[in-house]
Amino acid sequence: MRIVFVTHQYPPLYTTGTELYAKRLALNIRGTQGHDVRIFTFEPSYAANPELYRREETVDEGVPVTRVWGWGGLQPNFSLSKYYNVFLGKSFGTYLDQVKPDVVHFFHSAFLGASVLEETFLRDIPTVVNLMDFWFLCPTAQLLKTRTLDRCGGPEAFQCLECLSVGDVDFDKLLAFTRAEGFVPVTNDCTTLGNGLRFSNATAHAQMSALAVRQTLLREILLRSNRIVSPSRTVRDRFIDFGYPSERIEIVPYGVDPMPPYTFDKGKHAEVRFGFIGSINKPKGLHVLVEAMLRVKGAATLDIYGNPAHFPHYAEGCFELARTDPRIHVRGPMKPEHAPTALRDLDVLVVPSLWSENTPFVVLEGRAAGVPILGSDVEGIAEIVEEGRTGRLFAPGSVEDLSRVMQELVDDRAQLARVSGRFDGVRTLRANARVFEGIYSSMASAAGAAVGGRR
Amino acid sequence: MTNSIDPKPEATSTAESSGSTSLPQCSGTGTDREKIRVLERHVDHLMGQLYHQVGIIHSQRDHVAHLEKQLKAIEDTPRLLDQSLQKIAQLKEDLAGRKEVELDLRRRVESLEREEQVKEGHIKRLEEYLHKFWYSPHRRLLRSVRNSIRGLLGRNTTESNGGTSKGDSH
Repeated sequence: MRIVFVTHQYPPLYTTGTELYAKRLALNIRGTQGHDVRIFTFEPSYAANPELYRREETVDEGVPVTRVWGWGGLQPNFSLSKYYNVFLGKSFGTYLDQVKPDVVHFFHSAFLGASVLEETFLRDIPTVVNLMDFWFLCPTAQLLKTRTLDRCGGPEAFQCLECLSVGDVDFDKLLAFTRAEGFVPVTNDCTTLGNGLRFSNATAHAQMSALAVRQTLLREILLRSNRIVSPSRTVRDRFIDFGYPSERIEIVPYGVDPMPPYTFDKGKHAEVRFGFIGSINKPKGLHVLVEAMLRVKGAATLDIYGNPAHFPHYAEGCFELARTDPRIHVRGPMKPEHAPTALRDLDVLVVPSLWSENTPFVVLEGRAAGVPILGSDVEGIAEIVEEGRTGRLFAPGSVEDLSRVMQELVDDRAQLARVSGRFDGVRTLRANARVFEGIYSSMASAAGAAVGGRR
Repeated sequence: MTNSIDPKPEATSTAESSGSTSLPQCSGTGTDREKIRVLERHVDHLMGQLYHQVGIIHSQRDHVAHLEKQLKAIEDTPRLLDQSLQKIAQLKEDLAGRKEVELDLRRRVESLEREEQVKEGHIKRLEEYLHKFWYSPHRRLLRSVRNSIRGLLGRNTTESNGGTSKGDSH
């Protein structure tokens, strides 16, 4: 079978959860079953003078990777181009005509736009869409109000603009314009024919219209895919809350590579070693952890792994606070292949997320390594961390509660021995790949039968 | 390690997919009508983009024409600069010449002023001399001599002699 994976970015330049998952799954399916797995990905460019359009054929660890780059300015409506870019969609269409895959598996459509899904639909190619986050519901993909970090009850054009304007000059200007006295939004429907011209401009009305119809258009496109897969109940439930039919979303949990087993040995170390591994941005809540650590008394250390370059101001704020306590060590970015080593050197993996998360890979990896998890009591973490058995939960964003639980673990290290080493219940990547192979086969045979029937 | 994650029990049935699930699926093979609708939307959006890009190309073309004009002006600059420098040099020469003339004129004015002073000195001296002479005793003698000469010459000497004449009868 020839299978194409579609992602919004891909290693080696980008190594966050989605792209690493796609890569590991691709290597697994390719290596064990001999399927022809290929990658089609957007390659974000931050060059000062980027090219208008570029497509490159590369190979990453034996996997053919097609990387495309398209200048956003070709579609002047930047609100629209962030989720629906027919120009890049057609580029994917050309790729499909060349590669002729049996199945296309979408991991993320950010940057490329959902128009890539329409290209498979036009060619009757079976598709499976992984809901890696809430991108189909929310332009920032987290359903979290960026400024206040409150949970978003439902995207609305002005709220979306408010969130998008944080750290984005174009959206910030648009926000200022729409707040000016006398601005009355006029919205058009880009799903309706004859509106292409109205949308292809950078006016405030066109931008606001694009934000207003985002969910409607993406819903129409997503529901046209053959299979919609959620890694967790949390993600599935949120989509159902937003009106998606429950019977259309199936749960296929993530798998992770097996880790060397770890068990806490209370006699081995003088102190309890807490650790944070992940993106350093506000929704991940590192500041909460650092503040909590400052309140913890006794033999404890905190190791922070993460790249500060993406949100330097936020990271510097956290690090400045961290420097006041010699027990806190900022380790910097960590290569994905070093995760097992880093996890082995921890007694507790802390995941202080403020947003609801879907299924954080770092938690799965921590659990696969048998490291106790100390996580925020948000849906995506609570679903995979059992209080008192595989870890501890605390009130999200609460420094008091987190420091209390940390202090308990420091004072009663027998607790750690009880919850460590419980790596049961985490699916391996191989098992995960087998499930997808089953999905691909059933879709491909159904598509073959349909083609045969038409003949 | 088992091969399945452990989602907590829930009331509704959301069993994990085993791959060949019997969940309702979208056929993925839309009707031709649906595909035409999608394609029409694509065409619509691409046309919108195309018109916008054409608009940009036109404005860019105008901008290019404007820049070409500016470039031409810039290309002409060295020539115009040469001309200006020549003009400046000429004006400087003229100015230098005019200064020389001015100096010459000044010199002449000064010379004339000196001459005038000398003449004024002469006049003053003559006036003083005349004054002295007018009131001197020689003046009466001179006048009588003159009158005598005039009488000899047969001219009437009735002109006033300043009140000092006793009236010559012959």
